[in-house]
Amino acid sequence: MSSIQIRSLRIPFRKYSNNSPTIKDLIVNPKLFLKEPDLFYAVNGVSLNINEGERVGIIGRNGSGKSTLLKAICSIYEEYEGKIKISGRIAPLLEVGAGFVPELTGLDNLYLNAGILGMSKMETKLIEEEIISFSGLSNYMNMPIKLYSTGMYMRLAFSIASAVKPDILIVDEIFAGGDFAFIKKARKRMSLLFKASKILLMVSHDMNLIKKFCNRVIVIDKGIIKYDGTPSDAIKYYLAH
Amino acid sequence: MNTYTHLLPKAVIKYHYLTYLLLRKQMILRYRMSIGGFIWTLLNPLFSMIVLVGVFSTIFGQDIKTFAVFIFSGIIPWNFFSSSMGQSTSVLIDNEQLIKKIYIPKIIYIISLLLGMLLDAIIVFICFYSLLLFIGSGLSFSLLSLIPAYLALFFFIFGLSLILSVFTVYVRDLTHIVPVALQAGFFLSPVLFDQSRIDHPILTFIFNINPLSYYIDLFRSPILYGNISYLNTWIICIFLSTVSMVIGLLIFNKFNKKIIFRLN
Repeated sequence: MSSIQIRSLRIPFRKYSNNSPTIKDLIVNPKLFLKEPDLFYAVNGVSLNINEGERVGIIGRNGSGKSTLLKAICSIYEEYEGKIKISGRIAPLLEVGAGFVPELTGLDNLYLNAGILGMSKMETKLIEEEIISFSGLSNYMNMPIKLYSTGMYMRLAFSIASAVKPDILIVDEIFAGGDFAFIKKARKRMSLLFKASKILLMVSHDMNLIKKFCNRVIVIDKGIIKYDGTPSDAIKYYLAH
Repeated sequence: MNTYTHLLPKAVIKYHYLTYLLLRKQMILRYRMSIGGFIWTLLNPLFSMIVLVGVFSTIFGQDIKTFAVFIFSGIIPWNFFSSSMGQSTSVLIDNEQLIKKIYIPKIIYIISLLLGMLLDAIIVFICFYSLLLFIGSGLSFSLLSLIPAYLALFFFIFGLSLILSVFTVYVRDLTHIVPVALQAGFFLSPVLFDQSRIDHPILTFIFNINPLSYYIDLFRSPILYGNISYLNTWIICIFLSTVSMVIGLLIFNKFNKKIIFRLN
């Protein structure tokens, strides 16, 4: 059984005003060295249980802590107050094209990116063909991706990122770039991916997308859960506040 | 719980394929970017060696051939050390975008960087040694002791890299301080001089407390004299490598989870 359990999660950040001091700063003002940093909490006391079969959408204003919460679940932020417990295979789908290297060829980037997303060599080999044919870039795989157009770049990145098959799927504002035909194809692939996952957790500002795929929606503001309920009620709440 | 004790093997086993991919990326980038990418990695140390040999064999009035081998045997470990230190300062900062987006144990970035450095060092060694054979240097079984010598030096560097990479995230000035320190270190290590011939109390003292002296000896004995270093030197090196690695892992593990909050 896949599940996500979060207990009173708080994630402290230093304020930018006391970023790492340089030696010059320390000489000018030695007190900086001992000063306790000012903190703010991007996620400020979140408790949440997500069980298998749930498709959870997270909505909220910019800077409300949605992405920070997702990043903590994906263990990008490993230090926090509270507890996060995850059972099931989780894949990071936070960003499309993370770790792409412009100098490398499409094929090299495919392997590297798949590896970064947690796929083994065997797994990558099995889906390599499918990724290439879906991206429609089979003639360009031996070309460094710095020569790709933006659309081609996005198509390759999306095709790789959406080829993972995790139990728990985490999605942060995923957009498929490219031409109209590709976007249409990509939407279909996304919905298949969403349906195949045991748990879906997505952040989006697109209320139609949320309505279409989610059966539970959480509204977050200033790092706190303000509302947790059915999509239509939560969206109503969000739009009203 | 001492997480550091199983931090390393676990990460290496689970992420060995990704380590390989990152290493591969590093090698491709280094050797493909310019027309003679690979040639340049060889020519660079070759030119600096030619200059050093030319200048210092004249000053010291030594036979060029012997002196070339002497310098070579010191430059090989020194270059491995100094280029690794130089790159360690920026490895986490260079991978900032990836670290912020996707969870990969951060130690993987350092391991793949250092494996790349090791591979470079070995390639340079083989090419240069072929050159030395050509000008009349001999082959001996003692050269096999270079394998454990490389390993010992690798682990020594590994510990220091862990410390340096983390500290640089906190004190960015280290990116500027380390190259300067390395320049001084070059002259404070017995790369150009024969330690036993230096007759100056302060310099002798510095060479004795400089860990690199011992590692350089592991390389110099087989390459220059065709024999294996004294057991004492080996024990000191293995001890230093162990200490460096344990302290490195302890420090890295302590800051491992905080790094992300400082990468901005």
